[in-house]
Amino acid sequence: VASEPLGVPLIDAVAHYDNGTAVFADARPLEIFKDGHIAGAYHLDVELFRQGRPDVLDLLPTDMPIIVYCGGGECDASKIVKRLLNSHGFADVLIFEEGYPAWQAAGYPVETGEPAL
Amino acid sequence: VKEPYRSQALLLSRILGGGALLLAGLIKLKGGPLVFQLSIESFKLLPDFAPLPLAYLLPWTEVVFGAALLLGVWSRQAALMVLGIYVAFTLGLASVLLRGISVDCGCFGGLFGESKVSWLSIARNVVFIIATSVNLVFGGGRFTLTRESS
Repeated sequence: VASEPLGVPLIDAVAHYDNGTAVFADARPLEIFKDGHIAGAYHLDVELFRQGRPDVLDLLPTDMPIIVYCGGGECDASKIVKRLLNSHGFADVLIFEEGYPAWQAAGYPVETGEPAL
Repeated sequence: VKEPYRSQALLLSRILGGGALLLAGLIKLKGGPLVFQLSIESFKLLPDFAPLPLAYLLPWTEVVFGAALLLGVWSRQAALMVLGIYVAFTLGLASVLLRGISVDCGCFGGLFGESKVSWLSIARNVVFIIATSVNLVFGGGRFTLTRESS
């Protein structure tokens, strides 16, 4: 897990967000996701994969990158979810390693509440 | 302790120790080997070659020996294997906590509401270890599939 590539920096993640050229997936636990996440992000943590193929995979696009993030720092969840997405046929998965704390601190759009699915 | 309470207590400990391990194995099988392999890797405890074979082997081991203990098939031998698995997992969890690594537990597929490894995860395992130790020492009781010597 530790040898996974670094992925996209904040500035590129923001560019993808503003241009609508990627979707975001939050790999943190559901309770943390509900407290705040990147606006429009899907919730996709490892617990969902433990129940089998997550339904939310049907909503993810295959023609643009999926940017996965978690809590930044030493957080491994995004790297784990990236490998799980790859195993389900999603080849273009990027990791936003600075994660939600950097996004929130920079003042980019966030929202709270339940995931759409 | 007199019968039938003795056998009822031993059945209860088999349900706790064996049933929980059976459930844990079934949940891991449902999630598939990659999910479990990544969980093992996140513990940063084993050499690189180990997680993949363990991810295939361990869930079935849990199912077989968990079911054996639950149903009372060679209860003492099953309890010994189940106890070994619980002790190994508990040492792994303690290692993660002592090294300060934040890891998704994944122990029971989130059934107990835990998202991260914590001292509560260890306390829960200690309950299972005590229950399984009871069966190791006293056997499975009367309500077993195989005849047990007490």
